[in-house]
Amino acid sequence: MNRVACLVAAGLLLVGCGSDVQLASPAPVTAAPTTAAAPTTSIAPEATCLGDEAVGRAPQSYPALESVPAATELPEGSTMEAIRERGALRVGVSSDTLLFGSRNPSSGEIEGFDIDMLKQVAMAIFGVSEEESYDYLELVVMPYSQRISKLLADEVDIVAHTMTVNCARWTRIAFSTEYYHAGQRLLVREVSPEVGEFASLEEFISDADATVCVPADGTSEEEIGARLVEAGADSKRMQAETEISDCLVLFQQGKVAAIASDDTVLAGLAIQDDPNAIVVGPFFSEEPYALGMQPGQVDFVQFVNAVLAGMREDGTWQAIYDRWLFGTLGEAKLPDARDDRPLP
Amino acid sequence: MTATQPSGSVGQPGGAAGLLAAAVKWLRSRLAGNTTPSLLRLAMVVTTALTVLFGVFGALGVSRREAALADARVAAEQLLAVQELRVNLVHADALASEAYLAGGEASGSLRTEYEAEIAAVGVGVAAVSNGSSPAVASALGEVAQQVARYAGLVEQAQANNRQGFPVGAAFLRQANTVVTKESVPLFTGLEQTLRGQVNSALDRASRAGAWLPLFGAAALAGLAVIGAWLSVRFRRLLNIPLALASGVVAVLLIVGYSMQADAITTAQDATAGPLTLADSAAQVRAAEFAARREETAVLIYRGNNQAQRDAFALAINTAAAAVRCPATECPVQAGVTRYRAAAESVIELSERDGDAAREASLNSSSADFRAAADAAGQETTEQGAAASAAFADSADGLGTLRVVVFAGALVAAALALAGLGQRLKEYR
Repeated sequence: MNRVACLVAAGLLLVGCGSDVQLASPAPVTAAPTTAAAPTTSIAPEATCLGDEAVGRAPQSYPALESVPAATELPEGSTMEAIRERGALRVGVSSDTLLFGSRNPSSGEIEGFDIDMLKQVAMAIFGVSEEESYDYLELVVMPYSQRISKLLADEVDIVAHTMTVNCARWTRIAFSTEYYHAGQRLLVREVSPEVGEFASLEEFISDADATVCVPADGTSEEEIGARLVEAGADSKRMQAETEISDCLVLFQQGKVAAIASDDTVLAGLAIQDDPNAIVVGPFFSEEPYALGMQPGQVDFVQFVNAVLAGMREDGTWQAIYDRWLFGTLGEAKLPDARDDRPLP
Repeated sequence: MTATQPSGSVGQPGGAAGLLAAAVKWLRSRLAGNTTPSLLRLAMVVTTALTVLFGVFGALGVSRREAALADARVAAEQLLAVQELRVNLVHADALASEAYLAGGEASGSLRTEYEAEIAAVGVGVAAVSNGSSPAVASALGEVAQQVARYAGLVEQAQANNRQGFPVGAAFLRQANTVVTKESVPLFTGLEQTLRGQVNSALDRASRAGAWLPLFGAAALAGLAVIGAWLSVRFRRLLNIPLALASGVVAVLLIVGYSMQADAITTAQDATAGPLTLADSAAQVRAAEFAARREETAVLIYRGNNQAQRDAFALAINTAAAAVRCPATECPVQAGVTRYRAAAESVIELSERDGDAAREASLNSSSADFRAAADAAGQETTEQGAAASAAFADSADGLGTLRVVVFAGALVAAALALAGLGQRLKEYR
């Protein structure tokens, strides 16, 4: 009605209504559709665990091949031959776990203990030198939470991502023998030389105000969650982050008092926070690391186990350990090769 | 429920109609039996009142339109300035991300550019706050705090990156969150407020234009009726001073109406034309910078970058949707299209070969992005200047018109009094 009245008045007076021209607001733009999560394959669980998790030992893997075949003599129709024909080993790695898999900002390359393990596998498949082997890796950077799903979706052939092998995970994917034995500890603020704000996980849990950050969907989240429930503590004291480096940011900003993860990962974080952070307490869980592979690719698991066995014997494993971890973690015990899992 | 009519109003003419009837009745009773001299005196009062009212309210209307157009110009200029601040900040964020991806020495020039943009935000916030409304100044104060926090996080990201510490990427992610989740929403809210202020000023300017023709027409009609009555009553065809008074009012009415219409048309054309184009180009530019930031972030967070991929798609879609082409040849549109193709190719390549994608992003895609941003920047500058000039032009002459209308109306009143006074003198 007002508009009609205005138009009548405008007809008489020729002017007088509000402006017909208006500065338009930008039209809303629809958000891009989010890519659906990779489908996960349902795998029948293994009949038995074949491990001894109570004492922190890795479950058995498939027996290693007697020797690593030459790159030109890979078994016909094998997984390794398919990878060689493809020209690249698709590997799942971290790019923010210092010492194990992190991007070197000057070279742009991802490097670390895990990456060197994968280089050895690539050297065996493609028959190339260690220097050349990086070029045969198709690096797929992934967070902790996608390590298994990416394997199941056939986006990678193998995952080297500080991944703990355990019975539950063996029900979904296959693993190599253990290539490093880690354990979970706590990163806390150093209050005086070699003394942390908390001395152990138990002391941390007893402080009702202290909060901890853990990587999401890792064994730390399960372990700390269970410990907090057991102690009747508020579960909100644990904050899970997709990226472990986000935990360090929260720690540096004083938003969490501690970070719980594998000692290997925490060692990398402590270097980045030097000299304020310290890794404390005994292992509150054992974390045997193994290379993850797709279930059903038993031949590839046996091949990788043979590569690992060779590394143990000829000193390559020790050399790689010394290159990346000795300076930070000190002497290490060569992990056992448990490979008595019956072949399917 | 049935409404009942108040008993007191039954049979009574209501409201304005009643008042009009009473006024006519009063006038008739006053005029009946009145002598010619007293009627002449009454006509003198009426013509004086009508012409003076025309002078006062006509000038006031012109003045209000002039003020409203000045408000529209100020709001439009503030809108463009706030958009420039948003562009500076989003550009700084894109540069920080690009420098992080480049790492090492390559980031030197990017860092210089980044620092210049951050400094520009600081200077711009102070400049726009000065003289703006308290709400705008307060929002900009908040932005200034956010920018300080943002710059601190970027410093931590770069320091960690220089040492090869992966935690730098996490700091960079937090810094970007400050821009995208805190500052940009504040800026877009401010821009929306300022668009509203432009529109409201244009409405006021448009409505203020009614006063001059309304009072001018009333004065002209009054002079015509009295002139007609005089020619009948005194049997003379023309009272020259009264006719001159009518002529003055008519000229003021025509010239004033025409100048006012020109003013509002110029302002409306500036809004629909260069201001809209500058507004759109600034949005395109901000969205392009956001897209560039996300393109580099896709590479930095390779493996866990779905959020950055989605943000890239949203930003580049926003840029494409905001494009307004003033002519068949449209460098802004061409820039967006070319950059989209380059960035999408980088993102696609990153799935297969991260290092090659990094090289492509820092070279070919970067060049396409800069060309696109430059095209949008040039459009923003040119159209913004054109809009400012047009708003300034729109109010040109209204100050003089205001004085002329008032003085002219007084002259018309004096002429009318002289004409009627002549008849009164003759009658005596």
